Amino acid sequence: MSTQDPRPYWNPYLAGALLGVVLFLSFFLTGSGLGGSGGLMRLVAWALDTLAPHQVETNAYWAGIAGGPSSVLNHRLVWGALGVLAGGLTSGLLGRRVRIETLKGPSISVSLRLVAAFAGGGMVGYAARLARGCTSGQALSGGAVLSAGSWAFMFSVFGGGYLLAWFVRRLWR
Amino acid sequence: MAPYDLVVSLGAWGPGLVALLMGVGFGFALERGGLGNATKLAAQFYFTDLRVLKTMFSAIVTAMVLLLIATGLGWLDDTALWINPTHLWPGILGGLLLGAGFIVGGYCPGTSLVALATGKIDGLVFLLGVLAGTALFGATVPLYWSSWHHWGDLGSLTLFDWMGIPKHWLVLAIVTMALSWFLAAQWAERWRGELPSPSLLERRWMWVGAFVLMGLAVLGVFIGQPDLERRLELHAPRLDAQITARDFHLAPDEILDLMHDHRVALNLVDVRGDADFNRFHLLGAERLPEDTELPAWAASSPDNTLIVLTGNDEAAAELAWRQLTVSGAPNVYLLEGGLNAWLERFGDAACDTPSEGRESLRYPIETALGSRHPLASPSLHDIELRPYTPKVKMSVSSGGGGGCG
Repeated sequence: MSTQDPRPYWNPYLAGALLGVVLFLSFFLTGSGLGGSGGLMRLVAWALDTLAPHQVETNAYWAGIAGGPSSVLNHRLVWGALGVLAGGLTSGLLGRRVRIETLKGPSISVSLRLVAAFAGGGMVGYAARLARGCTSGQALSGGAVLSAGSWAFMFSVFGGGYLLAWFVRRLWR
Repeated sequence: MAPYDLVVSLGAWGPGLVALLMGVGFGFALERGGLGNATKLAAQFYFTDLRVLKTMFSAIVTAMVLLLIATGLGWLDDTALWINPTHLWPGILGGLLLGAGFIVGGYCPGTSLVALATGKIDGLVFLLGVLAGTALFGATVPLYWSSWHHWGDLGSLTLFDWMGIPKHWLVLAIVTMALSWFLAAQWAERWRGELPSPSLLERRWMWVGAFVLMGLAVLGVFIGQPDLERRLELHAPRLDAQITARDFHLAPDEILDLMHDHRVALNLVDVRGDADFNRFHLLGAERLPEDTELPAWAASSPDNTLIVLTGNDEAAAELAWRQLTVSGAPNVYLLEGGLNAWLERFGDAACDTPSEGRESLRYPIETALGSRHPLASPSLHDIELRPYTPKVKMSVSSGGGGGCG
């Protein structure tokens, strides 16, 4: 936590180029790209497997992920998500941008912002599994290796956002 | 050649460690670019601050161009890269829903992790929503399981295969497209007027970046991508070792067993000329495509299909095995000893010429029976299978799973 003013963000092209180099290194070293939602999905699978193992065994989707002897959490996507937390924290500390706060548009209350965040998160969580990946694993990683489906997904994400943006403008404007 | 088997080079914790480091770089770059901030992310959809588009497409084209050069120079094996399989309709529907959730909630999964790490309460709440949505998906997907699985399933389809153009030309076109979008984004931000315009120095550096990117893409076109001959050369050490170890030579008994196993999608591919093919081939066997069509055919072979190559002896099938393997076909095997060994094993006809390795059919099949010959698909009722060590290992796909899989 810092009492000083936050430093400005990098030029987005520079941040993008750095991200591109990291994405390239990931493909070069491991053959796969980066992921965001996969680690979270494994966290859910682990929680279900611990709390309600019967649910997991009788559900084709969860059984495919959490079934078998190997630990569902010892997966590169879980390690990757932990890395994202650590990298985000490091950059935030260097930029004096770590502080407990709720980011929102100027014309809504904090509680409405949090309700919208939970609802939007729910939609994104559902959508990421439906599409077999999110903005990281599908759009970014699949986009870089020119997967046809990933490009269709990417344009759909922008399309979905722009279609709804006008209707929910009170949240942000 | 990259990519590496990290368990071999770094030990059991290698893959996790590398994934952790890549995650650190990912999270660091996202936070630097302002993508851990919901108001900055949402601004994309009101054209006031287009950093989502700028960061995302800079990252995609940077990685794409570096990958193009690395595979062009033969440093990186492009057949070992994980290409997200295309499930068109679930992808489009999921994309639309994800975009809608993005503008309502202000984040996507990766950026909400960064927001959480920097203390944003809305990031934490969004993340809890993601976990709930994930659980809800798991609970409801069994209701429409088969449409989720098969609807619009096009396999590992790439844009350049779909368009039928060389990869390097498509990359050059996408880089050009991205740079023109960046110009339009700068113009849109100036029009909206909510951001301070970039300084002269910043503008200069942006032009330098654009020229470097374009230069690398043009370089990628000049280098080109390895052709079939060059691929065979690049992969020769690995292929030679695998041929010597005979890991991909299947005994006739294993193949016969597979032919009668309805759970296996078996694709028998005959590598011989017309005359021999017409005289005798295994039931259901198709011909190997011409050299020029081979890479595209190999790349389009589905991950769940087992390819078994059959020649008269082994040499021709081994050559085809090399060509298909370096072209990216998954699960390619060949018939041990060729069809001569097959006929010797299951038939009782005497061999007329005891020549070895001459790639000629040594059994007297006078008329062109093709697959009507009884030995094209011997019945398991008539034959006692000899015990064999199964060699077939179906790989789901190379690369060890997708980004969000």
